[in-house]
Amino acid sequence: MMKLSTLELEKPIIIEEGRFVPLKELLMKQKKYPRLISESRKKIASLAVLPKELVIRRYKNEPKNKVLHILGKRSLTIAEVIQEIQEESIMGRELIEREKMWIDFLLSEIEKGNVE
Amino acid sequence: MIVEVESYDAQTKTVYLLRSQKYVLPYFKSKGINVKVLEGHLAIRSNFASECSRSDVVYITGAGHGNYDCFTGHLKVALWKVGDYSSQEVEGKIIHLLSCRTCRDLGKDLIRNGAKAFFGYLENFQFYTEPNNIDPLQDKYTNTFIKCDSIIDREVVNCSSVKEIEERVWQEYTNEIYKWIPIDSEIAKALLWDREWFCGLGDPDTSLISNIFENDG
Repeated sequence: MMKLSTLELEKPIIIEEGRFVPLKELLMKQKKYPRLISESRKKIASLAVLPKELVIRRYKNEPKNKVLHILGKRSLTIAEVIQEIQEESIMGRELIEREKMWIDFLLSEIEKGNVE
Repeated sequence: MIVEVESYDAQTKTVYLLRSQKYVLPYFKSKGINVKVLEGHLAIRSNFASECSRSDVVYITGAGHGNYDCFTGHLKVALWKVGDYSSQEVEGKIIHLLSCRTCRDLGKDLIRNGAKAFFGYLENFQFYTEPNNIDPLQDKYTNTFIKCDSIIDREVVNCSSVKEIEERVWQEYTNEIYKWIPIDSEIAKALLWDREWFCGLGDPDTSLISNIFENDG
């Protein structure tokens, strides 16, 4: 069983009726609606790309002092990561794709009951 | 014999230090394996082609810049480019490139030209460094990424099969993802990305010949 960080729980994971829904809210609602996670996962999987606004919101409280390296290509601070996503550059699109992969992974782990 | 090529610049220096001082080269040496290291300005096409072409070379491992169709060395000059090298350099050899994207086209081309197996990444290899220019050897972020990738080198020289190496590397990445999720999910996210794009090519049952150590002397 893995425990998610407070930061991760507070990040929005889906947009519902124009509102950014944090993961902790989804987990709470799941108790009442057991199929919510799998339905959310399907909804995200059906998107060709995640909305960039969602991805940027997820980085809002991310500590800005670490540096992401793309081996042999670029080094980006978290502030630059956000900028690339905002501009939807080639790198930005890769980072949006990575976020989609990550959200799907998180939801699949929750579905499997691997998250506390 | 093994050829290890380590090209580096300001950005990739951390990777170079961790491979050459901690995870890869010391492991080869502990096994008594004869290794030819081409690092820095020695990582040029002529040296690389000459060493790889030797008949006693069974494994080639390297870290550096790359793209779908090429792997580069010092000053980003191509060491291997699709369609522009001799099959003698790769025939019967196992190859691992810690580099972006080389698995998609270059890896397949190396296999077509006779390599026994290839390990690499289909897309960009991502990793994090800690802030404030921490000593690279102590950087716990980068250590995690390079340790995961170095499982390839360790398992190859332990004569594991392609299939076993893929499983072992996947498991190492997975263990680290779970370890990092409660601590810093940004690190876990990049590990997941690398795990998903990691790829092994070649016959799943292929492994390094078991008499490598006898041959090396």
